[in-house]
Amino acid sequence: MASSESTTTSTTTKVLRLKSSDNEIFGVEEKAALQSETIKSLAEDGYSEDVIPLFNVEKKTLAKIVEWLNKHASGSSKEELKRWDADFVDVDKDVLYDLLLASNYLNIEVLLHQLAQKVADMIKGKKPEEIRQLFGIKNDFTPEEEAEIRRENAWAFE
Amino acid sequence: MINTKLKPGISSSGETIGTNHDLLIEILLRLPAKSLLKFNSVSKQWLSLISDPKFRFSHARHQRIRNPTPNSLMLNNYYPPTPEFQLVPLKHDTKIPFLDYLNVPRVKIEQSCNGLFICSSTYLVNPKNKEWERYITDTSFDYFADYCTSVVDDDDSGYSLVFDPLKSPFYKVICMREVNSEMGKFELDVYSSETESWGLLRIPFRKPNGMHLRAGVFCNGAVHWYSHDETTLYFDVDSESLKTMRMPPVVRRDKRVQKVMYFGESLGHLHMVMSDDHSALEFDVLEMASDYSRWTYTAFSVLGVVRAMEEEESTVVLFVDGRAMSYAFHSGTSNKICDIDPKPRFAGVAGAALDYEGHDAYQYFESLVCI
Repeated sequence: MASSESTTTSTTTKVLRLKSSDNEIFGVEEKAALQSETIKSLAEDGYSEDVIPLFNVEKKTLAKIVEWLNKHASGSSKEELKRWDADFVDVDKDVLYDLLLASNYLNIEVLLHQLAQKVADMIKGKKPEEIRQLFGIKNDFTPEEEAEIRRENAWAFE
Repeated sequence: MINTKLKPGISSSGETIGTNHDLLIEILLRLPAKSLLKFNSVSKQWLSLISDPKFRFSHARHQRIRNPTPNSLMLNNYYPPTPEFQLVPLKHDTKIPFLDYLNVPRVKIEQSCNGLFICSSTYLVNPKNKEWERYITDTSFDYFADYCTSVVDDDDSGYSLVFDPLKSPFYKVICMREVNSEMGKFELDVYSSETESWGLLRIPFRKPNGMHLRAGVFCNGAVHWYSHDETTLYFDVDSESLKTMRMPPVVRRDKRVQKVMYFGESLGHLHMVMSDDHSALEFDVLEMASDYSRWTYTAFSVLGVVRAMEEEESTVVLFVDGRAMSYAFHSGTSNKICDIDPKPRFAGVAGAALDYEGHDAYQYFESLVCI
């Protein structure tokens, strides 16, 4: 992974240094990095000559995000990207959650939509109890209220 | 990031997402309506989010963009005492509840438009979330009640539903009826769910021959009717004006005039199917150009009938949109056979057909016979 201190390069392409919450630094070409609206506005605020701190993203997640940014700035064909993206989001739910939160924080719209779609596909056929389990949600309905809501939508449970 | 000790199996990220309003919306927008109705009972937050009319409208828009074709066709069933419909599923996982919550003995669908229905003249229904209303308010009730009576009893009245979730969360109902005082003279009015009132436009018009007022079809911002004349009418909803469009040239074969077998919309195109005889399998599928300049015959023709030794295995070979398809008429299954290159267009032959037809196709058998 592109974790390095050598962020000054001899080529004309500018490299931005992104720092994860656990202090790992990733060098990313500006063109790739600016797909994130958050990085873009931080860079415009004058962070670009220095290290851009991303307090909400851990290194294991940032590594994946950097991988995505690079791939999507590489000029791959649409079909190639589609295949690559399908593999990219095919991960454990915990990794998926972390990526979704990171893409939200970094404001990378395309990636956010891909990940939201993946989560939607994952939960589409689940039962309400399983949804609570997956997201650690507390059931705050009384048993009567829950029964009433379920009765109204009984056909959806068939 | 806050590290908290959690129940096993649930990450703190999962919890953050499950209660993050914006992220939840991003996820829920991408779920089918059926899953959302199930997830109403997850928690109070999920219920209020899924019930929010703004969210529901965004969801309708999102789903319409991703799935621009219908999930199924619903067939009117006139006789059973409870409103029950047969479904022709066009996609997997289509199921809708009965419309028994309307509490009327027989429900007849009269119009459908992007997920909303007009049933039995006065009910506007969304079967998916069981929402319905009599699309009338106190102030307009008398006028409408009057209206409906005439609609129910009279073929020379009709109304059409206008709903496009890509443009507006509101729907309109376009009503046409004969002016009581003058035979042969008609007028048109518009009901808007945004203002909950009738526009009382009273746009007068002459009805073309055979224009069936109850068969209005909404397509690209306008409601269209077919007629038996050379031209027919459509109503542009935004400009609230009636306009004229051409009917396809009438083809007369053996002195029989073609009849309209189907008139409808799909993917923003207006379609008409015409046949010499309602029982005949010979028919033309026509599509109107988006600028209303002409009707074109869609690429669809029969290349041959292949009788099998077992009758059930017989197939019809069709040319559809650059492909040869086999259609087994007993099992009702169709399969793509191969792609077909377009027919070459010869210079100087104006309007040469680009589609292969039955007379272009000849049977071939492998043979070593001497000649």
